[in-house]
Amino acid sequence: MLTFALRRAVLGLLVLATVALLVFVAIRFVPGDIVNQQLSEAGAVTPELLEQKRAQLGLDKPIATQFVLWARDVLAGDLGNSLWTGRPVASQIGAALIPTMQLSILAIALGAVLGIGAGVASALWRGTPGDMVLRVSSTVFLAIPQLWMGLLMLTGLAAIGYFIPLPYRSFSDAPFVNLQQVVFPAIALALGVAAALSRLTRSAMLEIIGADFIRAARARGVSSAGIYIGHGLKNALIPVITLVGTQFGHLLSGTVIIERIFNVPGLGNMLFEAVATRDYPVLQAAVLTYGLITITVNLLVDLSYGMVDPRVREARS
Amino acid sequence: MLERLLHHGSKLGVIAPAIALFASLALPGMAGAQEKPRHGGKVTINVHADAPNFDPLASTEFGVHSRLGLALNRLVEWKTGPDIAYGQFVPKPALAESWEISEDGLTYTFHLRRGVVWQDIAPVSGRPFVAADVMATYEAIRQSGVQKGQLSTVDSIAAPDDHTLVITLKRPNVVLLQALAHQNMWILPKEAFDGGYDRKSVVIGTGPWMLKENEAGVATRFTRNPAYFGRSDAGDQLPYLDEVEILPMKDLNARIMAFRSGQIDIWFGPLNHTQMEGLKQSVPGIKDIQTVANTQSELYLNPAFEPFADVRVRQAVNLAIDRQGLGEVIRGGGAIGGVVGAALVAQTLPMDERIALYGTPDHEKAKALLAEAGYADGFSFELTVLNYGEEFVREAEWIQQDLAEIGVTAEIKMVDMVAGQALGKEGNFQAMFLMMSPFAEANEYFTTHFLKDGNRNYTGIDDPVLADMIRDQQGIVDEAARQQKVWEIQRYIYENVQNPLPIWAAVLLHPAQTRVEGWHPMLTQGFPSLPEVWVTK
Amino acid sequence: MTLVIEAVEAPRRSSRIAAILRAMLRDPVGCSALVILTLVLLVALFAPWIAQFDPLHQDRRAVLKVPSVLHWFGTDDIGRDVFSRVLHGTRISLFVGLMVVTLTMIAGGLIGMISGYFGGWVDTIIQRVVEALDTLPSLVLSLFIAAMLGPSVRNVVIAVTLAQIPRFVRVVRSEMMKIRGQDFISAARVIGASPLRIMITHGVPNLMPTMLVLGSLAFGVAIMTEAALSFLGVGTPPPHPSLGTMLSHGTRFITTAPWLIVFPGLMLTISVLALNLVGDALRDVLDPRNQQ
Repeated sequence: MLTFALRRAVLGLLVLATVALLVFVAIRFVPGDIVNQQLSEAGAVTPELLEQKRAQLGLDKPIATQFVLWARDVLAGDLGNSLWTGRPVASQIGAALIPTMQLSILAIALGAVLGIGAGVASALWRGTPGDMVLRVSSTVFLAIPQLWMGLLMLTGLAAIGYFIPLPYRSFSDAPFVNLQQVVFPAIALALGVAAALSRLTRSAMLEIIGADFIRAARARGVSSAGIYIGHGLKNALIPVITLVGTQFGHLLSGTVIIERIFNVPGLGNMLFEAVATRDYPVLQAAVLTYGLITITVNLLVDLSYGMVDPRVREARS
Repeated sequence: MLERLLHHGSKLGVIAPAIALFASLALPGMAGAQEKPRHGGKVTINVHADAPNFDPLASTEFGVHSRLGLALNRLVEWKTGPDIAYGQFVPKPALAESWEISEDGLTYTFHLRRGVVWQDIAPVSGRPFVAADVMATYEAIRQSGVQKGQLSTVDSIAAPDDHTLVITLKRPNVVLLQALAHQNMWILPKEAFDGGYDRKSVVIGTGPWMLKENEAGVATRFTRNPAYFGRSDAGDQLPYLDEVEILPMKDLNARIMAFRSGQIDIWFGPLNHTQMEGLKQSVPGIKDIQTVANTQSELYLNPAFEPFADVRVRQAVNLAIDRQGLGEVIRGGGAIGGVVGAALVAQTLPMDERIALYGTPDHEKAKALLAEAGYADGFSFELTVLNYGEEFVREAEWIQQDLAEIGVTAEIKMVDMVAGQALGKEGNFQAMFLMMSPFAEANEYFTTHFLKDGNRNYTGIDDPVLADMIRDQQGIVDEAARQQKVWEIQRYIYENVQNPLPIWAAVLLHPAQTRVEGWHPMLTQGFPSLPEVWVTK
Repeated sequence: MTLVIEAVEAPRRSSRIAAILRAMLRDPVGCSALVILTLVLLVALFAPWIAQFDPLHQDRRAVLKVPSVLHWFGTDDIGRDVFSRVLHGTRISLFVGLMVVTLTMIAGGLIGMISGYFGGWVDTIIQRVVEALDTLPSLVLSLFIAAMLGPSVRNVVIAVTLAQIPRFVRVVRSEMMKIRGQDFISAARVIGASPLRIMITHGVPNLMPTMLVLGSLAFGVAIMTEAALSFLGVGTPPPHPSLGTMLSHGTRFITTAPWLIVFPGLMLTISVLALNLVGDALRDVLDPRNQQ
């Protein structure tokens, strides 16, 4: 199992290297570069000044050379300096990663608790009005775009006179302020996750409730709540974990929009800025980071299968 | 006098520049007039972006220079006050206490202020400010600073002693003082250029505040510089404020909410009237300061695309656009654009003339001109629009509908700003709609737009008559005579060039919280009136 | 969805389509989903005839009007009728969705079948490419591609399609691997049918149920992604009324003219909801376990 997961991760890294190359080349074909941006408001700019600035940043070299230089540095653990700020990219990524991960993890946790809870309840109450309400609301929440959800939340909060405090503060710095800043965007992200999870949990539970081993357990006299939680939920967890994994990808997509709406200085905002200013090293590093997150999440999902269900472990080794 | 903000009556299309709002004279200061300014306190200002780094030589970015203004000084600065208009340059002695200009206009002698010390930050550590610092800064700028154009007429710079600086010019340049007061011309200690410290991350100046902390995406925080040389007219030690915080906030809603909840004291950036009304309702006693922007939208028509090679077609496009309606509906006010931006009240053409030339749409005449040029059935073209935000895009859509009415179809192609500037420089567009740089002198408009190698000359204008006129005005010392020449150039451009077409300079709303006193927004970056701002509680 | 089905399977399998439709109509959720979806499709299709105003026309005398009898959804900041814009915006959204789904089904289906049918090095290469597309979150990938290509409806379709293909390929591939070893495929191979022929005559019909379910979900995702891209300024260019662009315009008036974000968002949600429900109902109908 472990070897399988690790092999996948290593393959993932190789694939990521290819993606990095593609992104590296592609972004350089988009018109304009950072020098245009830096000199945009300068009154008198001579072509020599432009060339001088490009040479300072190493943008005058052939793309292949630039890539080799960059790749060498990255392999040595150096992501380079931002063309825009001149500061090390690694520290910028680190700073942006914290709020994004905080948002995502909070949203996943909220979504999982809400979703699995609602799914189990829905399965237990099958056919009752409660089940109906939960099913309808999960279907509706699944359809509401995070974008709209975020905007509606902002409107609603403003209407009741509540304002999220600014500027952004880290949790270690000002926990109470930070929580107010991340809770609302996290809720906007979590509702969709919860909806997807509750639907899946419900159907997985129902499937398992009908399965032989549950009937056997009931025959052995295990109490019915105990059966559902102990056997049902545990077995229903496999598809749910997979979904948590895929939901994490959706969630990262969602953070790009939600960070913008709620003014959170995260990875999504940084990526967007980097594209807009043609800050190549930052852009490349952001893409690598997203890739690494995806690979890590896949690895974790793979490993957790084995932990939850020994059959998978055997089948794969 | 001050530029008026045009307002329409209810009937659009009828020109009624009736209500005159006096820029920056409106409400502020009234309540404060009775009270005496007091020291202490903190204000928070929002801007739309981070400072990528603090090297003033590396970029012209607003995010950098607006923040540097709090910690650094220039040789000469912009005076501010209740009687000075937003776009009016009145030279104020800063690091230079006084200056003399030779008869021939070629030699400027600056007497530097004595007793000024650098902020107490290593490695400069509070040493006195001397002429060598100015020399080092200007030499570095002339070598590779983004602002080197400001010193393009300078022949040599010398420092006969520690407190005197002599600048010799190659040819007369009446705008030199203003060039030295330009928002990018901060003076740094000489250690910034000999490797003493990294000017990207360390800020050492002579200004009213010291950079305490810069947290990207979060806040830039400044604290009072106890050794600042500035004093108010009444003789008070400046600055009044102990702390200033600058918040980068890209999202408009986040900004609005932050202002409403009192987390922002001084607003900076776009805001429309509807939003302002909302703010007024939730913030009683809000300071409502309005000015005309020093940026204006401009429409470039590339003669490489056949129809636009004919000046009659460009005139027709000009006549199609209902600028005053556009300004009223989309921007909620502002001023009609001129070749020289409307905020430069002494240099742009008089308002009535601008309205006659650019603010009087006439679709019949436009169609007749098109027919004369051989385009009786109209034509279609691709309009490259740089993404300067929602309202700017609305302006493009407005122009699109106006042009449709004379039978000309504009297909909008959106590009981001960086791509747009690159396409502009390559001349790779049919027509391009963009926001002009925040210039502060007519000379900047002329040299960038109409000289052969000008940075904003995207349509390859190369008119020797015009070039001569532009050089001439640089040497006219007499103010009234220069104004006539500057106007004459603009009229020539209207008749013969008509490219780019100036469109609109928006009204700028600068709300501030009730407790903020002495705030006067100015077009130059770096918040020049901030040292004299104080708070009532 | 009916359009897609006809395009791919008509007319030979029309009886089966009718059966699917009948089964869906018997299910109350499926039935209401079909009704909503049909309504949305009709609205989009006939937008120019339903909307009483030109969605691009600026009535400069009627700016930011609240919803009224004349302007059902109010007007925007340059006097355009929001109702007309929402209808036309839906049209653009559905067009993008339809294009994306069609392209994804064709490309993803074909690639997935090839990958699953041949296996070996072909499969390995395809899987690596799919993984490469999948390393980035889908919106990040779309955003990057759209930002590179520049804002236009065509580029949005390309950007969203590329982000949707991996999931299709993966599912179709595994289904194809399942049926590859079955008798009727071996039989076809023995009588000398070409791989392409086998895929079309045996692969497509057998994979169609899965692809339809995936397609209806991808449709919803495509609509949401288009809105997100337009919201970020790299989607449908102005002056065309995309629901996402309208939301992004509306953010400036969130407290003063909330109708600018309420109606486009509502329409977006209804469209996605209808598509999701149809997808659910299709899955139930096509699920072999439910076909007793």
